[in-house]
Amino acid sequence: MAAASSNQQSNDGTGRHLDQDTAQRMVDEAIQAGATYSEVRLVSNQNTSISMRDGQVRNAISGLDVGATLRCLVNGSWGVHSTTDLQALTSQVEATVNLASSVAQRRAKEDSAVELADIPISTTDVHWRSKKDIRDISMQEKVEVLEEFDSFIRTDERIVSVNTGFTDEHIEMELTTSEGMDRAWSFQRTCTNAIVTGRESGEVASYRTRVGGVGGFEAVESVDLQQVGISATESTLRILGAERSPSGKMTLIADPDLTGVYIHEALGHPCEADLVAAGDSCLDGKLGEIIGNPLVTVIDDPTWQGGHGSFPVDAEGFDSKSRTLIENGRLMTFLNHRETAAHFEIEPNGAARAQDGLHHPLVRMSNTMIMGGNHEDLDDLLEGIADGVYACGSRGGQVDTGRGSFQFAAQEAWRIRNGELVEPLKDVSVSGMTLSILKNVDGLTKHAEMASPGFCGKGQVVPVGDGGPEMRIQEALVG
Amino acid sequence: MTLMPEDSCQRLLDGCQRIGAVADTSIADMWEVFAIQSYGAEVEIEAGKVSLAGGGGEGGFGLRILNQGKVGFAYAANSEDSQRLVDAALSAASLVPSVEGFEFPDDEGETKMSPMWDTEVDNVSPEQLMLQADSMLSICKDFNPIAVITGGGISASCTAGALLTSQGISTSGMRSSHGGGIQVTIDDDDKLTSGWSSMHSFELLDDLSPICDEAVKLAEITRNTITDNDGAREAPVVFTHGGIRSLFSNVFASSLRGEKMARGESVWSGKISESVFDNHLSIHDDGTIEGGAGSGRRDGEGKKTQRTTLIERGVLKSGIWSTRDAAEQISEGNIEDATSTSNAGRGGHQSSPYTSISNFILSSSQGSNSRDSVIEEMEDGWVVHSVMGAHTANPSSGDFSVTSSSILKVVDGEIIGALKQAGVSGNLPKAFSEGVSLIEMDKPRSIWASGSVVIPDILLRNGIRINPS
Repeated sequence: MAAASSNQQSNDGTGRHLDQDTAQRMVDEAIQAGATYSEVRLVSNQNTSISMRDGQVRNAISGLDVGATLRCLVNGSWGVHSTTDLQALTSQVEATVNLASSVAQRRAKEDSAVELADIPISTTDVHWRSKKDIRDISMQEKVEVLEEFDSFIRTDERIVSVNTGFTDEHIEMELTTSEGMDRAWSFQRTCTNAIVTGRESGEVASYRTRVGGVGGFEAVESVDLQQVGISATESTLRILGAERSPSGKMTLIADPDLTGVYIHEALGHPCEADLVAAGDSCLDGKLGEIIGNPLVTVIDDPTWQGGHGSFPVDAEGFDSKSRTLIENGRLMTFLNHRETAAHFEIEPNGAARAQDGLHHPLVRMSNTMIMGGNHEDLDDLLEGIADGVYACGSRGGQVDTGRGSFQFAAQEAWRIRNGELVEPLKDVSVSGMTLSILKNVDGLTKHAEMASPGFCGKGQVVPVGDGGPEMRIQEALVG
Repeated sequence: MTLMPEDSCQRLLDGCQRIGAVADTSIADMWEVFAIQSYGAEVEIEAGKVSLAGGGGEGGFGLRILNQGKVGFAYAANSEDSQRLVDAALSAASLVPSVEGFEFPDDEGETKMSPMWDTEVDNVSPEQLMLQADSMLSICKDFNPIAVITGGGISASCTAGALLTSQGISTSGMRSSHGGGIQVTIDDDDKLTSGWSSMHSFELLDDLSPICDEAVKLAEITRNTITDNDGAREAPVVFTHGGIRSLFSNVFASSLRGEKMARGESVWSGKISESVFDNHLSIHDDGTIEGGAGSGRRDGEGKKTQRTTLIERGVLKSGIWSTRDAAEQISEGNIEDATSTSNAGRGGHQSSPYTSISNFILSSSQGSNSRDSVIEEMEDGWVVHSVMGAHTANPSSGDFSVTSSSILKVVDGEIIGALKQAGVSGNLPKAFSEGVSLIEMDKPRSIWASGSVVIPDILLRNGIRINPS
């Protein structure tokens, strides 16, 4: 594991979008109007989006989105104002303070006021430099990546359609707070993806793949797209001829992609302290308890180099750092932001993220991984399994954090019989209950890796990474 | 003070004209400027209390140009740097192959419908929203003293939009929106169950108690859990509208896109005029319904909205099309004839028009039966109120494998209890091909789930496999 922070350079300003004096005046004005804390946070996103179908460009769009949010804490309650009109923001201070004051007035005596845990007050800028700044790469060069990617996929007449996409973002964030925080940070994110559709004898199958992460053009250029393309084609054709999934409780082995989605859905979301505080997590009251097999150690690390969910500084100005959520089966902490760190009286760990400048921060994951275990490789995990399923690739998942139930779906799978991978399967999904299935993990391969880039929705959509080793679960509900 | 500033539409049209004037002097053959600006207020509820109040606004301008059959798109937050916007769109067009026969639509008028605008929403104050939130917290407690709204909120917004094109379309309008959504949990006896509900309208909703009722009931009905040791099996399933809507729209809104059908990407490719659904079922897409969540006078390209029959009494009649998709598929030789069905959607000013459903409506020529009579007739089966993982359904094949924690077991025509969790899987097109009954609803709600979907509760007798945990 390498830390992306090795790339960081400080005090190398890129020029602020929001005048610092104006921002300072706004947060000061809010304090004078009665706020105990106020902040102005701005996010600008300079981006490119290219879509291609069967080797032909359909859309090539470059854009710049800028949004800012004023957030005020008054008598322990929040008021916010978000806008793309930066000039108009300055006139909203009093109204936003009044909003927060109204929320505070209706708080019942038995309900606790919002407090913020202390974090270091920084005025240091952080800029993660890309090896190949996406702003220096022409649209044509980006198109050529897709043309090449496409050519590696359309190699069989049963492939009826190939949709590829390229996205990049140069993200700049600025934060000025009434506590004296005044900093800017920036980073880039680059990805390419493909959706491959195959057809044979009336059957249709599709397969999705995505590569890339935080970084410049190198995040895609360094990937062996030929291998990714060939693999996607082979998977699509295999799904075309695959049998439907068996149903029932059985032994499941998940590949790193699916292991990542599993840990994101089943454990990561219930670990988000805002959900725990809201009474919507099955992990409420379980800090310090053994909740999984001692084999299981889980980290969430926004500093992971190239991870899709990496960031240098969280949305409240806290320098990002790795967090251990589960260590040898024991729940160590919740992912938190300042409000929830104070609520649970735990160390702040910088998990505040917002979709953009128009949304306020929530507690979110970054790159979530199960660490490697003791099994040498897949063959080692397969040994002794009379009947089971080996599931690969993710079609996504979902969780009910309160009940502790979750579901995730695989892109393709194989039936395991007598320790061997036999017939291919399609439409495999796995579901279970967080608190029981974490104890049913009984095998992890030594090598853990970051899986395909993903996105997470929780009212706001943010990029995330996840992954792990190959993982064996007993008594998984396969459908 | 109103949410929407005065003259918002006119200011957007003025901006469109500034950009259009620059585009007119460029080499572009045709141009189309779309502008949108939204203002809103919201109140969030968390852990049984109002946790945050906020407001704000966002918007911008999107420019699509056509130059020698090549389409380019660019967007900006304002209309001040029109030349940069036009240059960016032209630059993008230079990368795109020419589409023979593609032209932006001419002005063919617009559907006459009542404005989807309520001045009461425009006049709503954050304090009013907070009072509504207080009321919802109180109503849930009245329904069940230990029910807690753990998340959700109420919002009101007003949006102005404008479209100006070189082909003579000049239109603008405003739309209001008000609604709420809540998650309710009941945590008692070491057992936590939850329920979710939401409702939205362009009119100010005076009474949000129906969503409190629905969410609390969902949390209550799954508390009496039973075990089922009979293993995975196919069985008749009643899906409530909340249980089926996401699967239905994820699979069928995609399968019925004309472009996907023409390109062999749909399970229904090559099946026009063939029977694909149970012979009493029809699907229409209708952008002209008064008050529908997906209704409007024009679509995202400015074409007059319409009602399109997609499946009629089980027979596949048509797909949905935007102007560009139709021209492209003809140009590529995938289909002989196709025209826009006024299904061009917009994802805001940052998005070029794309094909999407407006109001997607399932109906039956056999009418519908009461829920009780359908469950009684089903004898043994299941009732599914919600599913997790509908987005993982395969839109190309219609295969799905999801999970439900809101599933009730029916024996001898009576609900006997809930399972803690079960897998629900099958192939949706096959499940809808026979043995389907629709169930009466007091007032079918138009619900956004990958588009506006109007679907009642429904019985699927075949092709659904339940896998109890």
